[in-house]
Amino acid sequence: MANLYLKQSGLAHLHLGARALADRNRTDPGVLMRELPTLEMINLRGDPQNSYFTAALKSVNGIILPIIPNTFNCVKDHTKILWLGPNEWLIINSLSTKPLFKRLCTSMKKLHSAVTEVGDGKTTIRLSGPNARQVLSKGCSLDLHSEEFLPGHCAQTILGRSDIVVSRMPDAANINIFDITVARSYAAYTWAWLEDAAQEFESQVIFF
Amino acid sequence: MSAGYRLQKGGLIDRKTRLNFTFNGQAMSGYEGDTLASALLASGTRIIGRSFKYHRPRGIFATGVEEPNALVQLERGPRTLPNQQATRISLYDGLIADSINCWPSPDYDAMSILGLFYRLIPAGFYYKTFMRPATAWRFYEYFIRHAAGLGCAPTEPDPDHYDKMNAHCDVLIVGAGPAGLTAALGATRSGARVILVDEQDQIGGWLLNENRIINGQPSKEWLNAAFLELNDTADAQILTKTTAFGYFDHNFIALCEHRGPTQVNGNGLSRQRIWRVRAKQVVLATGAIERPLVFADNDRPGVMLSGAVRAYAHRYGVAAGRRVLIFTNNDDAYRTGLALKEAGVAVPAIVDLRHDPSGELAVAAVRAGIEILDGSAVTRVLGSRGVTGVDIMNLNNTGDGVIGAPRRISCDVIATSGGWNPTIHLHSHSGGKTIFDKRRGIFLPSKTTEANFSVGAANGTFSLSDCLKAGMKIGKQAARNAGISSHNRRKAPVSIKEEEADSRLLWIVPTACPTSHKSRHFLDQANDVTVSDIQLAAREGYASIEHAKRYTTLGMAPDQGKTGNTHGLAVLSQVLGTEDPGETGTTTFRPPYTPVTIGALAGRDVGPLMDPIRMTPMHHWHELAGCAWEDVGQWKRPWYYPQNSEDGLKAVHRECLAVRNAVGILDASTLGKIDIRGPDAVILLNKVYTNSWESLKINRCRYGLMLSEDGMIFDDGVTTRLAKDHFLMTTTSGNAAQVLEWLEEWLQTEWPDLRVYCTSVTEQWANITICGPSARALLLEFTDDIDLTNESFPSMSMREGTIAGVNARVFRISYTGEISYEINVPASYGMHVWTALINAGKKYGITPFGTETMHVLRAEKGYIVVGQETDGTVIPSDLGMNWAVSEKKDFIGKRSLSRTNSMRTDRKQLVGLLTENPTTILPEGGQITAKQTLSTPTPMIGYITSSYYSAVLGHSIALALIKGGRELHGDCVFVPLEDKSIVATVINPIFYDIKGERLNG
Amino acid sequence: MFLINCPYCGPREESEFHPAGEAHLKRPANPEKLSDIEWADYLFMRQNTKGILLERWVHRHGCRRWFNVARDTRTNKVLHVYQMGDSPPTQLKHIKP
Repeated sequence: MANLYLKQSGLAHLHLGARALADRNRTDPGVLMRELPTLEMINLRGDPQNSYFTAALKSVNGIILPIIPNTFNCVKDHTKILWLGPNEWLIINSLSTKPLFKRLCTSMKKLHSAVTEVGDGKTTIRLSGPNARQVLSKGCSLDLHSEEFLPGHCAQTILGRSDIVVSRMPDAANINIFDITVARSYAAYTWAWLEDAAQEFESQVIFF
Repeated sequence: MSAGYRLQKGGLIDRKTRLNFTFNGQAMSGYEGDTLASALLASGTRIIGRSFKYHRPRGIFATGVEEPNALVQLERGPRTLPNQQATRISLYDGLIADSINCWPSPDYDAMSILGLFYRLIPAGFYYKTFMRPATAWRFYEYFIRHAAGLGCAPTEPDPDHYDKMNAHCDVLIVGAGPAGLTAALGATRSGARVILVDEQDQIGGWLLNENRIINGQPSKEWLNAAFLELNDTADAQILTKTTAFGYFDHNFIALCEHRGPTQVNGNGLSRQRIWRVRAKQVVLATGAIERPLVFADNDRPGVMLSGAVRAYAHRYGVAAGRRVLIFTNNDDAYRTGLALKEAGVAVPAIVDLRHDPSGELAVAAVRAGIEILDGSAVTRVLGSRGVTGVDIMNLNNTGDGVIGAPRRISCDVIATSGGWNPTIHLHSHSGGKTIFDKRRGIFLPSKTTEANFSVGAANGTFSLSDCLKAGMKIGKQAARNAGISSHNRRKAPVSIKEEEADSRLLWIVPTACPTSHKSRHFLDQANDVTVSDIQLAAREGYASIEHAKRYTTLGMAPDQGKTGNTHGLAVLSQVLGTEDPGETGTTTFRPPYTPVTIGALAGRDVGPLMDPIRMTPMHHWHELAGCAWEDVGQWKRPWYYPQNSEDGLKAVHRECLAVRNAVGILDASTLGKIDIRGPDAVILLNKVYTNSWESLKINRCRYGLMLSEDGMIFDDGVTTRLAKDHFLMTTTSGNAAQVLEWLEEWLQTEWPDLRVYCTSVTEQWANITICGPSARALLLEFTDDIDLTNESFPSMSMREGTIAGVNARVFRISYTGEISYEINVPASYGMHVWTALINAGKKYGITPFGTETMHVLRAEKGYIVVGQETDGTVIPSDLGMNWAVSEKKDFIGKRSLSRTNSMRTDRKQLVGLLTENPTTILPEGGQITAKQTLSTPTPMIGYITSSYYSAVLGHSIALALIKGGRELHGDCVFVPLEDKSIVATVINPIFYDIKGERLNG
Repeated sequence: MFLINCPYCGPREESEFHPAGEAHLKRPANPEKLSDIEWADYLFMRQNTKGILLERWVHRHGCRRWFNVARDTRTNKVLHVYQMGDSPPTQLKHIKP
């Protein structure tokens, strides 16, 4: 594969690094925004009742499927498996040095299943801060009350006018963290929408 | 104009904070806590505007959303708002308001002469007068609109922003009066998530207008305690200045929050916010709206609702007048008399329609020394520009006439009360039924269809102590119904119950002469609808209230007839002889309860966020290259790339020739791509495509047509076999999502046994297409693991390999007729590969081209575009595409191809058209006739679907659908335009490289 | 704005879904054997029920699953949701529109 620096995320054109630099002295922002770019993402289809299927998954890094709708499992710290439907999951792997795709394909070879790379076609925006939930609620009709939409919950839904997958990560220092995974072509819209909705709370861009 | 209507003390206003404002250019002032209406009253301003139709002077009538008269234009410039009720505008410093519907001023209005001709302008006057001939309306309308009164919409862009908020709760309570507040307390104490909304700027509802005792304390102290308790509860949210304006299916309620009249600049706050609330239970504690008595000339400035007069005294410390006459049919108005008396305002008399009122309030009034004139009525109002006095006469026994001699009393305000109508609007929005309470003459909520309760005055419970009790009970009940297990045993607050006697229902107050004669009884002051208008409508046959309403415009003004509708209904019933307004029925209450600005409804969906712009991975390259864009669904696609001062036509010529003679490069990433996998994938393809798929070899591609079950072409595309049980389907850019849903629909609903998974990979892959004679040479520079010779990589096949160091799938699929490589790389590398090809391609004259060039080139080859050559009525044989339709298998839509209609020989068929003059470009969509000379009607035999100038041919070309067109090759047809008729020759729809030799380079 | 209880994802707002008309229409096994009228009947003719309608919806912006809804078209009340392939609950059949 070509050099990684040639790889462009869906929000590369926004130069979020420079934005973060400009924002670095903000005090008390209500909302923090960052992109989690170029993560490996795999769409997985298969029959969760089929023990060969679940065993084959487990043989790859110990992946266990979330069976409860609208939840996700974590394997170690870097792999999330999100429930998308009764036979569909989204695997998000943030460890770029250990891609899962080939290993999954190999282990699934003889099973009726579909392992499809989709990471280049999506990106993830991480929204956190004391007002993150309010910002999301401006465009998302789910009940995001902190006792209803818990850490470990996820949902395919709509934000503004774009389809998203929203997942609530574990709180950090009592601050809610939401990951919003969106199709690449909608990423600029979704980012702009979130920034606009966050106006009244003062937002800060972070970049790592 | 005399100042000094402000009482010495009292009210919830902050007398230390003076606020300056301007009304009709005149500087005035009020206090923090005032509304514009209370400040105007305090300043002695009697005339606020002119009426809609007759331009009669009108003053403040009410105190809230029911105000029909005091409409103003609020602010000027881009933030101006028309038709705002002065009673609902919280005063702020620097406020600017102007009267509407009068010129040059409300005191001297040039149009008031219309009032003299009122008998010439009855109900339906405009319908009757200006509608013949039909075309004349346009002429008249201009003048009528100018004469009739409506405010002005802003002409500049709105500088503010608006937003929306989604919310969920166990119990939504609408109205924070005594019943709503106790309901909120009851529900929160049970542990429910509660949202409490009220349209006023603080909680309390009507209680803010009264001085009552609750739990042994002044009611204001109880309100404060209730507020603090709710405010300290984490899951209770109080929204003030927020109107619940619509109640929709499945307990979905829309609220509009006013977040301040001027707070906008810089701090990012929205001016208004729409709340979209989904509640498990709804408590409607929306209160009641007082209705007036309908007597002669009841629209004069100074005629006000009794409750409003009391509210101005109690809440704002304003005396509505110096001598206030009370005119009532019930006990509640006596409270107004008592309150005014206590505040030191003269109350010359309480005129009561009833005989011998003997309730405790009446007794108190007598003790306070107020004269009570029972069994009497106001029969005449003196003073055309403001009340100066009244004539009072005795009623006869039946109440339909007056007797004796009039007695004249001087006064400057008539505080009138005809009882209170429960505010049942939201109950009605939700599909709830109503019943008519004959004794009290009011509509009450009855059967509900959604999970809601009506409580308090909204439910016909008018006494304070009963409201407090009922609210608490319903609040707890709603929490239980929402699934909250209640452990809340706290009691409702108590208040002393004041017994009230029945009212006397007299829908029209008689005068010495018949109604409609000289004096006018107004029902709807905002739209100038009188009793005689309704009577006339009934005589003319408008027996249904829905018809009478539209004919007379009763209740159709900004206030939606909140004070006059019940009377209108009652009057109609009387004329129809039914006497029971319940039988006549109400008009349908529809959202919004009060007007909502378009800005609030639009929310964030404005400007660049109005609709998402979908961007391909190379979007910003195109932008820098200065392309013109074409919208394809939500996608932006380069249309063409003008260079220097090129116009579109020139740019497209240049791009076309570059592809035909050198190499062009196209961003085709928007093509829909669906990954189809599973042992039964071939079976699925056989069902959804018209052709067969078993024989397709691995790494080979095939074009397919997709039909709806009615046989009409709905999509097309090329599908490639990646492995035995693995395919990649492409769809048109606009149909990507629909096609995937189509496949899923059949898989899930009809053939669930098929073992196939479909996954969208549209976004995963960038598609960079290079085509033209030099395409192969260019690509050769970028790969060392794909053999590009025709033998090992023929047309309609796919190879996987490395392009510019990136894993790629390269497809030899041509939509231009030239040798063509569709290079698919992961989207993250799209920009890298694109720029590498551009840089290396310079020596070959590489030219980026857009969708317009693509369309010209494909039209030269006679390739169709779904949605251009097809329109949902076109079947494969119409396009001469039966070669793609299998006879041997069933597929979706096949049966429809043998329907009689599909077999007709005169169906429109795809043909090519060539004009005589090579530079004449036929208009797309142009109709085609068989004859040149036109006599009407001339049958249309077809239309032009695509039309371009072909640079390589030096001739214009067109595709058309013409009846029986394939039989017409060589014939002339005609395209009649406004000023001429263009002749064109019908040919086979392939214009260039008919043998297809260029495909292999 | 309906609240529809997706059999897979739970209650979601109507805007996430797309309605697709009458449910339990079965594509004829051998379309070729049908007359034009019979075929047109399958293609075009629908009940347009006033009362309890069994209809198909797809959770377009969610799990992309198709399912059935029993809805009273007079009140828009959703009485029941059930997966594709399941038969409508028997008690609904007795409710006369």
